[in-house]
Amino acid sequence: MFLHDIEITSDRPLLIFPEGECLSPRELNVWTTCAESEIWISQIRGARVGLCCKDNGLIALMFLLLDGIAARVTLLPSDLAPETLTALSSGSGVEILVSDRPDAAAIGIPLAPLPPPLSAQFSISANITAPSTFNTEWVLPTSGTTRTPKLVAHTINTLARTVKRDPQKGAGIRWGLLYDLNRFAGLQVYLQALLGGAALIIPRSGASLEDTLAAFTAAGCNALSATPTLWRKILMTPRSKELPLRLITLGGEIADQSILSALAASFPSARVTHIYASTEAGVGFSVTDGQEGFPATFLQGTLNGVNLRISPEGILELRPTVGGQHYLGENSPLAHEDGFVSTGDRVRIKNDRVYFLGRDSGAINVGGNKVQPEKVESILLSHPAVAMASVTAKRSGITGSLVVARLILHPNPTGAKVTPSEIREWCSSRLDRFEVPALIRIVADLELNASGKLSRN
Amino acid sequence: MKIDTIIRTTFLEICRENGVQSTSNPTRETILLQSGLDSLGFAILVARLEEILGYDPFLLMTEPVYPQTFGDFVDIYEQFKPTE
Repeated sequence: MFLHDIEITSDRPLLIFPEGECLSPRELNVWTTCAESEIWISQIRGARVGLCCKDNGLIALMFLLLDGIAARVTLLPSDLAPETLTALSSGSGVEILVSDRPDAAAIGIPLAPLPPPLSAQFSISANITAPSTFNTEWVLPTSGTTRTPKLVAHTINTLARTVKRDPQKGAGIRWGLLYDLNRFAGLQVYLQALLGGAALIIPRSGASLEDTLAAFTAAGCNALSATPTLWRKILMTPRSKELPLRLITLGGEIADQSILSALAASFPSARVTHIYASTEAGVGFSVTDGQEGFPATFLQGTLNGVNLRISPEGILELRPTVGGQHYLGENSPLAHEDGFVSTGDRVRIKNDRVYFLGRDSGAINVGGNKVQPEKVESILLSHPAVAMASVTAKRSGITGSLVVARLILHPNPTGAKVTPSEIREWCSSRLDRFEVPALIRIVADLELNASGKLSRN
Repeated sequence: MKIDTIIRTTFLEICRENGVQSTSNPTRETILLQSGLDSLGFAILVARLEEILGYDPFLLMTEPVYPQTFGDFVDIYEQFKPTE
């Protein structure tokens, strides 16, 4: 259990809730071992549990009860439709579901009650030292290049590999939670805060960014982790500079020099770290020198339990020195024979620094959402007026990239011309919002490369 | 047309396209993130303005600035206007 890795007799704040309520490891230990929790635990011991909750506070507490007790915990993002949740649950063999969704019954898995509330008077359990008998497997969905995420199985060891366990440095650090705890990024912040000897501030679900940041400032939040796109939004939020930040982490997208410099200027006493993490490899590494990309020296030796190399095709490959994670229900190994995993990210070395160029698949990263150009092109081509379509990325100072479409139209004998806004509406009703081309250009010709394919450069 | 007018017109157009309800004319004091447009909406606005005005100040600036009000946003465009 997580709490066994934390000094359970400590009275320092560990979890800080929206109402300002602080819970210490000692109080949380009383809650997880009380008779009411024991009864709850007895229903899920050894089971494959699905967790599908909207309330991050509830999830934060349930993680404490589930690790070491459930055989497998599958995190089911609560924003997904019931039929997607049913499919993910069946893919992960979920036997019992814990959910605060009013429509949870529609998922079709037997429901467990919610654990006892923190406000209850606890009874002392007869069995205070309930042993953790399972090395719980944690199953997380990937961050979704498609509408149905893939499931990846981890253990706490693989998830906590990047956690800096330094209780002296951790004391006095208060992480603010900006991600959903059902997702990889949220769980990383949770583990860093709890296992790193710090506290975690959990904002009210569904609060605006401005209100969340104000609550963080009030609670003394001095460490935040967010995507570069979310950081730009934070800097656009009035009074964000009042946050007494000491630790700033960027991840999930390529961090460019302007956001790194802007953060250094806005929070001069903060240490700014950008994290490169690969879902494919299940690992990553961090860069703390305030410059985009990473030093070419990272390609030599072992870095934080990871070996790095660049393939002859210019793709970054990683080799985790601790294995363990794998796609559920798929036999295909994630790694080459020598243990290296392709990250799918194209890189270039310039002046002893490695820079990221984009996805090898050509996927466009719009504010953390991956867009497959071929998918957008096929929707454009399904419009009766469109003869040829080419979708490329355009650099954006706000979302990293944007989707741009160039189109050749069919000659129309009547002379009536379709407008970019009609094409945009066509796309809006068939694609996710971030996939809809931000710019649509009607052109006379499109460039083809030597093999006769549409040039994406 | 004045830069302020072009930005205003394009802003309202992006609001309409993104189904943003509060499309009343923004004032200089309007807080951008309370205008209804999200990060993606702003990225589209900046890209669309680049098509019209021929420059993207956010890619030109060496010292990054993130505007908080509509007035800040217009000022950035004025500041980076290419000299004729």
